[in-house]
Amino acid sequence: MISAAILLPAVAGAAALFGGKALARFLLKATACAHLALVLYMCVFPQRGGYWLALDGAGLLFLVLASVLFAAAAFYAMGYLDHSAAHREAHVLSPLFGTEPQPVFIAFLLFFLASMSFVCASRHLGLMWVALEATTLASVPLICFHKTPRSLEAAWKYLMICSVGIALALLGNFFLTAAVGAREVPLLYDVLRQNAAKLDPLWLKAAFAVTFIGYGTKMGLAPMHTWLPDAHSEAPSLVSALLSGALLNCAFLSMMRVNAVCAAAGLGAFSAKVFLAFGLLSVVVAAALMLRQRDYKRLLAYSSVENMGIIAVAAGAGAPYAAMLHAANHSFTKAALFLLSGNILRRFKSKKIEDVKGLVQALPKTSFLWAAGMLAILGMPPFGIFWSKFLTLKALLGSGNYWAAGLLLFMLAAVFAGVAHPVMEMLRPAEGQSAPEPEKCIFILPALLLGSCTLLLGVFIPAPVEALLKSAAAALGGG
Amino acid sequence: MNYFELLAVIVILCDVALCAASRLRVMIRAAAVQGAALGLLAFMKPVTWEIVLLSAATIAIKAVLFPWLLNIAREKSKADEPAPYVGYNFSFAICAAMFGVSVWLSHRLDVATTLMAGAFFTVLAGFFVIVSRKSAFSQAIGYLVLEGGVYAFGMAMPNEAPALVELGLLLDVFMAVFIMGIMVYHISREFEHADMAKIAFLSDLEDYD
Repeated sequence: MISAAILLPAVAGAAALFGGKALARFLLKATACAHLALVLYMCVFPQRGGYWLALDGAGLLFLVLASVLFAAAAFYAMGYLDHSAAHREAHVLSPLFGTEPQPVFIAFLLFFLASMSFVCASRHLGLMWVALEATTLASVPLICFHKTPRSLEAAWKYLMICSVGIALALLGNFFLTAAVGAREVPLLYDVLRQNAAKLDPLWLKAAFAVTFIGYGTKMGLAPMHTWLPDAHSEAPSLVSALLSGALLNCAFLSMMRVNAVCAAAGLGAFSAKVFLAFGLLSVVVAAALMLRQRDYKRLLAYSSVENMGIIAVAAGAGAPYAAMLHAANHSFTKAALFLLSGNILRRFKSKKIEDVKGLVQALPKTSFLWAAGMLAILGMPPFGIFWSKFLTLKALLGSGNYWAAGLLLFMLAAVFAGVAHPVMEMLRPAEGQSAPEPEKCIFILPALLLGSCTLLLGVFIPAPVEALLKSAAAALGGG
Repeated sequence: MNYFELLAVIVILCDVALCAASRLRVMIRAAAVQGAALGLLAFMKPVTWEIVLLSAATIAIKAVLFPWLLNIAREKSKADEPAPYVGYNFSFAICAAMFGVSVWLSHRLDVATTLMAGAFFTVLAGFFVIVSRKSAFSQAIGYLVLEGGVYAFGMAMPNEAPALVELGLLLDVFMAVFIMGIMVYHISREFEHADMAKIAFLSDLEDYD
């Protein structure tokens, strides 16, 4: 059952590669729905899992997030592929798979979903590494879909920096093997946790450090974040939504798997400090670069760095529940915003904030959602992000990190003050703005649904969702 | 000195050649030789059919496929290798320092074999090539070397990783190499060079269009 969640998109992707355009489009829609249905089924009826694959609370939570986001992006893609000029050009990989770019794009989207599901469901840390590297490889052709010089540069940076980072994480896996020594403990995260006391602490510490740098690169924590704003701003918007909303979570999950082993081995104080330090640095760096940002997609990208920082801080402050809640909130909100940014880009043909004027007149529905999404991501109640930021601050104060709490609060306020103004400038009615164009449902509904999820998490968390978040937090240690 | 020691020394010498080489052709060849040595190192483990498969696949990818792909891309783009950020002589000095660090590191972690020091050294050398060279070709080679170092580390470990994981790793490396080759090809065709220092459109500070 668990392997079906990985095989289904992988097989569909392979089929899309060799089928025509119509088949590929059908496969994308059908697979997105089937995957979501399958994942929700596994939520209701928990699966046992085997040696290689298993789904604990954390894996399930991130799998659900990836699946929901993918479904939204898949339907958005239908509209995108109709409108985008790119589908007339040949795809990056087109010399290999025929000249039609759409099936290739759709195939790699499906491979991307398969690899992310693989990360969430891996029980063996080595296999998880393989899966996480596969996510990079599946997403590179998506980022440079348009083959513009800028997107080629972004994709190259992404490929190089993340591959190197991930190679370091592989070294971390070997360090873990060394920590196990001759004790015949397989690298399964739950078995490692049970046997944590037997592991060699020096090797384990080295493994954590190297893995943190490796997976931290992929998660976009400063100072290893340099690829992120480029890749997320140059990729097609629906790909940005998946990269930011689903993929960063997968990297965080991988990191937390190793962290849980460290915590069980009594190195929790050390690893918490690392999380706190890198998390705060990410928030500070992202805030500094968001304040003078003139490109709205880069703004969203840096906001992802900021939010990953907050998640790391929450994990470091010993509040895994806040981290999980924030991850879920951020996924929904940021994916919705990236999808909307695609609408804005299509209308104004520019990513510069100053070029976008009179959004309210030009795209009324998009502008309403854009404003709401921005308020959500900046941490205004009643949206969910407000609560998860609040819980993070509370945990920081509760654990005696007053300086960290003060710094975090100051940075959040600075980002709010700095970002709210230019975003409102985008919205403000401008003279000479042409009459609104009809906005197609397919470009609005996915963002609306994702946005509603954030609102729901802010107003009232349904009991099953609460249970899932709690079991995810429990699975990653702490409680 | 047994044969595996000799292979470990070859791996180390290839790193030195990579760090100090100025011509792309030399770098590609050094990486290929190193790939072949790494493939043969797999026989340090008890020989099973999986080890034979692993060794054959490693040699096929690192010593044959990747050099071949890179050579094609190199011939398509006629531009010269741009001068690196760090001069060749200074690179050599850094190389020596990195080797010292690797030996120290392997002693610090109580696994002072030639191969272990070589593995750390290869990781560092790959990293150095990536950050100090400007062309996409050299960076791709750097990645391959870095990954080779991690692989050598795995070989130097006494306990075994499951074959499934090993093959998964290899598949990833294969795909990475494949995609990198295609990307390098597109970059060098789009820009008529592969100097990544000149391909810098993306910035937060500069004004752009």
